[in-house]
Amino acid sequence: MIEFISRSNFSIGRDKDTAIYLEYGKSGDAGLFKLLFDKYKIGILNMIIKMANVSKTEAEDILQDVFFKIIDKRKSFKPNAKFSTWLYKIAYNRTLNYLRDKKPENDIEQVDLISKEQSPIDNLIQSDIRKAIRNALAKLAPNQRNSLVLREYADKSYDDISKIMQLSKSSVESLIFHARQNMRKLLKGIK
Amino acid sequence: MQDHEKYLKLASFYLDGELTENQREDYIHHLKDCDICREEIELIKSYQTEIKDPIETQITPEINTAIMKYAEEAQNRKGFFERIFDSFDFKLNVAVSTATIIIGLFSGIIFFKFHHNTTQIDSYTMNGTELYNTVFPGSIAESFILMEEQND
Repeated sequence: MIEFISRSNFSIGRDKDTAIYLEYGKSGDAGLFKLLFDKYKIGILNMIIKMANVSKTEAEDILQDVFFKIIDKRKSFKPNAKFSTWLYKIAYNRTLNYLRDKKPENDIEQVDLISKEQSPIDNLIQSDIRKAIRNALAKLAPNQRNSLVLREYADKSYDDISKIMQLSKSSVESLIFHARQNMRKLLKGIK
Repeated sequence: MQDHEKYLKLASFYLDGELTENQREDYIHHLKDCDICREEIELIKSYQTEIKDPIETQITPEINTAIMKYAEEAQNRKGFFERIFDSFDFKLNVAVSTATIIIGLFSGIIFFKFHHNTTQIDSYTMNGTELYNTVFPGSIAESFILMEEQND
């Protein structure tokens, strides 16, 4: 019966994860939830860390909230969007709520257009380059950083990002463009 | 110069696959002759790799367990009727039962009506003949009877 329903969901044109989640909503089978949890947990965790520049512990707290909500909302899910887009939207909103409730001294600084921290090119090794990129990412304006993380790390399309961030597609295009421009300026001189 | 600025902006859309086919062809054609745009593309790609690189590759086991436990408890939190519906594949059974009842009723009605009508037709013919003879005398009555017999 589950296979039959799953096949009928596929025939309607839904992606596999959306079909699995819809089936989970009907049956409540924790095994179905585990399939989705195992697939998305690392991606969501890293997205939270990159967006919010928080520790692993804090990111896991947010992650737990996200998946608790996925479990609680299983019966009311309306498949207007893909499951993955909906999941990332919940993770995005939870992360923003967490940052809003966090103490002000932990806020991310706005971007400096010209980086004052310039390392000698010859002395940089791969881990330092990675660190430099993460620092540059952390210095971006929140919306620019979030849109860039959703695009580069979560591999979401501009349409999906506009649904997740609840912005117009043109706003998303502009954010990503300026994020890349600012990353370029922050990483100037680093090869 | 204005054109070149336009192409610099397009670098972002090109990498994200957001250009139309015509725009993409135009941009690729431009790339062949423009070192600056090629450098721009390479620079964006260089830190794309780092952004894509996951920082953490494992969830703390306690968090993993807590989330799965929540899911299992949610599964067991089903209501009484919900458990019955799920365990007996309720919807399928209701559909089959309903279909069987409808078919049975329909068959019964057809059988009963056929049997009843057969008896009625005979009595109507006999009664109809007498009735028509009294109400519509002569050839008119004969015509009605003939029509009824033909319908039988």
